[in-house]
Amino acid sequence: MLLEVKNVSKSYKAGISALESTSFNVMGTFNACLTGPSGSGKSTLLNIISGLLPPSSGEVFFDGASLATLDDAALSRFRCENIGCVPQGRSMLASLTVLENVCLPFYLAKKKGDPKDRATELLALMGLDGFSNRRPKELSGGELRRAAIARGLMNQPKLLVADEPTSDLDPANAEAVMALFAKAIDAGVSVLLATHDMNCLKHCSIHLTMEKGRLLA
Amino acid sequence: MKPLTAFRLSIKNIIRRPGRSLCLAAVSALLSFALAGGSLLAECLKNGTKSMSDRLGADALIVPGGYESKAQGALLRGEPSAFFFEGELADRLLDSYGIEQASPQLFIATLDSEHCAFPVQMIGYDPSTDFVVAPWLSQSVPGGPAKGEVIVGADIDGRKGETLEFFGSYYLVAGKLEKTGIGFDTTVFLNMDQAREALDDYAGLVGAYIPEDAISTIAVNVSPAVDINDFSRRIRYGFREEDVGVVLTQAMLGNIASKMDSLLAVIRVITMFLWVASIGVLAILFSAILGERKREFGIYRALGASRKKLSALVLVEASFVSLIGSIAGTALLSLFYFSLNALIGLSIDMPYLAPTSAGTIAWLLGSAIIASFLAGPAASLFTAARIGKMATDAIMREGE
Repeated sequence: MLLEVKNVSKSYKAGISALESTSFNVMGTFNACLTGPSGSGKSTLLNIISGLLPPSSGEVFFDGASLATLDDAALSRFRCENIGCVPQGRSMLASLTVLENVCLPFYLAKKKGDPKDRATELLALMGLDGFSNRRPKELSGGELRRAAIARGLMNQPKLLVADEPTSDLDPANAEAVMALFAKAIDAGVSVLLATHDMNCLKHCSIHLTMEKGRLLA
Repeated sequence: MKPLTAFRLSIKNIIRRPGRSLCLAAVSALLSFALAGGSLLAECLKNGTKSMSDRLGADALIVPGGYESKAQGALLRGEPSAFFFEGELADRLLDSYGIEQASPQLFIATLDSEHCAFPVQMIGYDPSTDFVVAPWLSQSVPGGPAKGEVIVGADIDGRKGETLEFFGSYYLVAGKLEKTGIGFDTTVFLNMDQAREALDDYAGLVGAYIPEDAISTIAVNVSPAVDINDFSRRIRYGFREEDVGVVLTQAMLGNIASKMDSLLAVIRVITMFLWVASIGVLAILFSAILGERKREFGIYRALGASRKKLSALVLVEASFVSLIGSIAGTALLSLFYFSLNALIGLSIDMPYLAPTSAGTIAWLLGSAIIASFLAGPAASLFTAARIGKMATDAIMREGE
């Protein structure tokens, strides 16, 4: 079982409950879509699954291992090696070139070698040949999102997590991004998306709906 | 491709936001400027007092009444002065009670005219009795200056072997003295016989009456059994009709030492305050910058950076900016110091001396760089700790 979410809840200090006793599990390679209105807890669940946010209660198991047993350093290493992340909005670091942005997870994972060839290959796969030395500010929204996906795939993760990957894209670019996720799945990478965009659903094998911090289906 | 280490990532970020980086570096530069300036000034003042103490090796100077401050000005700051005793009075003064050693000196102010190379203080001394400057001058020219010769202070524009014109006569520069930081740096020394000839030339040019066998001061050492203040009172009282003044060198030095102690205390307080204040200002700036960069740090975290890594990024960046600022501030101070040290000496009305060795300067500047450099990482510690503790989703959401 790749991912198992077991009775996970999250509440904040102010008494706000963002997530209530949520459970689900998925096996094998999957393409899951998490939908629901704003504030329904999608991003919170995504961050907990990614190990970015500790749950208030419950547990997340990834490939059979509980994330709760890992300290920050181990959890960070785990994220580097297993989970690719495509954050919401513009997430490319402005101080780095596109190529450096894509290579960054490689260096954060403290891997040995030169990641340039793989990064260039991923950029080509995303249709971004010749963009290596450009700065993020020189790229359009769609190009940035594709570069972020390339970065998410850099360390050959088992799971790619994307928060609103098509939120500010026109339909053509949104479709292109979804096609790239399909390519990732073909390469054996599971994909978990949080989205408002119902057009994404047609690409997904699993559809999870959230409302008021609860998983409906 | 060069690895993206914490150092390289920090450099890239510093370059990307030059305004922000400059602002942070400027605080470090100001701090290092102040620290280096304060410690250099303190060192110079200490050396100045020591130099005076070494050079003014007499207990007291007897001068014409009312010329005490002129004599001090000539000795400490090289302000050209001319004042004279009657020769007969000088002989009587030399016979005063309690004097163990005494030697006359002649102070002549050269003129700002075509007859003189430049206006400076000229001091004539008697090599046979002098115990104040003769031992020191002999180090430069054994036996002291001969007839037609002068020994010049370190700041006088004249090299050994050159000739200088004073009052229409030409003098061979027999030697040049090492820098002292006091008025002797702009003084021309000559033996008493030569000084009397110069005095005649001076009198002829300015048309003044100068008494025969005139002298300007008598440098005296009193017997150990005699209290110097009592000696001063006796001299002033005994020669009240002739109007005689006494400059006590220990009192003069004590006055300067006391001024210096107060100044050093102020310098220490100011530098400590600046150091703490700079850490505070930098901490506020780093904290404000953290707010601006939450999104960026959140992305690092999402990509797999540990809290330790984020803290390292903040610390390396702060250290680098602080180092650049500290070096720049110290370099600016060095430029300022070496070009304006004379002006600084005048503005604080105290004798001024460059530290004795390049090693001392290097040590002081190095210390200032290290102290101001440390302020940067110290100030960023709070931010580094905070960024490490922040929940990642909070970082990402607040940054959006």
